Amino acid sequence: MAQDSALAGLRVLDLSDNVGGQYCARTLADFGADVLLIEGVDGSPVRRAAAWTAARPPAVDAMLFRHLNTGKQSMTLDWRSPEGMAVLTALAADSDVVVAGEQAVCRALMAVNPRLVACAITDFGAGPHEGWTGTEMIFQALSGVMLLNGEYPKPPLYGLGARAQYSAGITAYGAILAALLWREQSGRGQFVETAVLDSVAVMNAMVSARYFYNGTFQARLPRSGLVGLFRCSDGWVVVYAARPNDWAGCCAVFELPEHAQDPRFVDLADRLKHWPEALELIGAQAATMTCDEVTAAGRQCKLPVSRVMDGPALWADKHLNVRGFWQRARSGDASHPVIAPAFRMSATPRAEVVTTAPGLGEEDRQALGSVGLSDQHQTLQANGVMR
Amino acid sequence: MTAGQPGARPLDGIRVLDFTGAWAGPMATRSLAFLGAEVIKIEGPSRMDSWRETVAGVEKSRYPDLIRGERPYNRSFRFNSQNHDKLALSLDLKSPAGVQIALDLARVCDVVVDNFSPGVMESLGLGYKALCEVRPDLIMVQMPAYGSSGPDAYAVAFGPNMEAMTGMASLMGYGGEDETPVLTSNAYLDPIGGLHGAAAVLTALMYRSRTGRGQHVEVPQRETAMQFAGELLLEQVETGEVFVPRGNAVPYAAPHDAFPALGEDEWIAIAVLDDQQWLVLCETLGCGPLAADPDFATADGRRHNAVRLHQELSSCTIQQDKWTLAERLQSRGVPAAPVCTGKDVAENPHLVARGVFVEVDHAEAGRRRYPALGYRLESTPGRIDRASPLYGEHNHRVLSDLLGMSDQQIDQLEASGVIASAPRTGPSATIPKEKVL
Repeated sequence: MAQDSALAGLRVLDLSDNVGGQYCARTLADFGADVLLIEGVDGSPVRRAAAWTAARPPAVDAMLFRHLNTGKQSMTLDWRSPEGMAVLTALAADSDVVVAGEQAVCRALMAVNPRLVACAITDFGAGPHEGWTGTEMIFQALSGVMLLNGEYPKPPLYGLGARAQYSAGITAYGAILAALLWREQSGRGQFVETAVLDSVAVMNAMVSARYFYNGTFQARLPRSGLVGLFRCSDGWVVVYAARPNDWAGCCAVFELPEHAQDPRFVDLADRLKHWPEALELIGAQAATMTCDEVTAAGRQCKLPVSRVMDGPALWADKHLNVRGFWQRARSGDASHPVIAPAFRMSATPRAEVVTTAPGLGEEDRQALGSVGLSDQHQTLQANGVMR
Repeated sequence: MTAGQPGARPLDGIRVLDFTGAWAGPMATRSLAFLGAEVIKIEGPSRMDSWRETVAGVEKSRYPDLIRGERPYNRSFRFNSQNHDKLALSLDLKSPAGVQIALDLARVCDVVVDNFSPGVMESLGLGYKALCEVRPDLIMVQMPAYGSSGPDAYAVAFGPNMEAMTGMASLMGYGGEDETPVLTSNAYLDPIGGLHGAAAVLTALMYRSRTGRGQHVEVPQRETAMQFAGELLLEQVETGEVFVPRGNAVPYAAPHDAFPALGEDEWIAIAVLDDQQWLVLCETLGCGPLAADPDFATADGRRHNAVRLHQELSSCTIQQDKWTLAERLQSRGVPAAPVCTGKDVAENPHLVARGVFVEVDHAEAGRRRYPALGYRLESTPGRIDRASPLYGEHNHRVLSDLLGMSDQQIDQLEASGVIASAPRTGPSATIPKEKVL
């Protein structure tokens, strides 16, 4: 990693086996930290996360693992055993940050290294739901997001993927960096934490803030504000016509000049009232156009209109490619696409090729060597503490 | 405040000049304030933060007790939930005097944040280069929706549009006959951008503390959000398949859906991760025959017969209270949760017990609770000290304390319209983040 990386020289142990922890530690790696992922001898459960399709051969690590662990090194270690804990302690003595899925191990390692910033990322944290089992849908349901997604009277939709858990990851990243900045002033590390439910409830702050203000809350609406989803001849587009002039934009883009002065739509309040009629008018026109025709015309008159893009469309997207959004990660002689770091720092030009997520057990000896313990490798293997 | 004093926070002494509006940018700078930074929020005399809504006010549901009040722009829950602890300065950036004040403030700030479209700050004379001339070690974080390069850099961006362009909307929907994509609640991209914006500032502060150098950081909101769907995008790229929405179905649980509970539009979310949980679910719901139904014995069977399964389970759940049932299922190890309304979230005993909601006094909105932030630092906890500022509330304080201006100078600025104590004209509720020319 380049010397000029923001987090160069920072040593991180990633003990987490959840999306939040691994995304947090991946972001630390993205900006220059040396991150060692510590997995059980069977590997992180994230390696075995279910794929969306059954098409992928099961021998390959889950795409989720690849995405969350690009740029890290790995070491297998059963740190819940006494022997494993001894190794972990040696590693922690020489580290700046620990990312874990529980508080207990953070406390144990802070006792040996008071400069350590130790971060626990849990599902719920302490409190009445502490013993609950969280999944992405459970978090989204509790946060109030889920009830707003979809169409009444069908069931609410939870969303996709693991977005609540990612939000905990980037929250934890912020907490860790703040604690490191504090350490520079005080010389002391500290315990930091975040819970997935906290993070996702904060992301959805608007539902609770509104309730606190006036006791009301929104449920799923037959339509949401001045948003329209339209099927074009080759896909879907989203229009958001919430500014006064956006009706003129809609008429230009969808070739409805006869409605440009239609009193139902010119004024915002009227437009909201008559929006279902606007949806019909626009929908009929959109069906005869391609997504590109719509978005190109939208660009001309600054109408907020976008194509609903799927994976292959994003892969081919000119804008993203010009910007180098897709990066390549090396894996032996081959390479594969990954997603580049979330933000761009002028003092740290981005690498063209990054290191792929680590294979299981491949770097164990090297990692042990970093704390002068390589002579114990065979014993630890024989005792089932390492792979 | 120095290290070691009680109440000290990591960003004590860091000053932020904040040109952001609406949600993502203000959430980023509110995070910095929570961690101890002093944040000076700039709004224009005729271009206030769009989340103050309009001068005259918008729908009542935005306001305390459903009352717009005399100055609705000081009372919207949207603005007031995202700007705690900030100092508000109204400043006309289209006037040379206003730009000069912004430069003078930048000189005494560590960080500048904006979420305009690319080029706006440059066109105002406040681009990174100009700011570095007055403050060489400045950290500037810009949050353009699509980034500052590429053919779509200047496309008009709002939450729904951006979400469509992240790949997320293409993966949400009921599926089957109904191919319509679904967008996430009222906006999901903004808080993702906000959290990453704060992370970007903290990262650059780490670099500065090691090297003494500032830098420019770009936080493209669409791209940060794509991280959150990264594995789903990469899997499509790798396999060449186009994934289509399939309701609440997931590969790791079956059933995995919301089922109707007692009451109007009340639901319980249930995720069955293995066959044991399936049996426990049937027993807890009191629908024993389902447990014995061979069609439902395996996850594949439950997926294959999803429609009948949903009907059968719904007939059991619909008579039960969503909270009671969720508690019973969770106590037996089955992941379940009530699908919460705003009221449920605000009153959730777990969130309340953890101090997620903080009560503060606001001069024109009264004493209200607000969601705080998820950062928990044991030795140096973040906090909310003050409510969000009234429009122009700190004009005098900022200009006097930081720039040493006299009362007379400040009065002159007000008289000439460079600053204002009330917004002059109302922008629409949805002022775009587009280029100001």
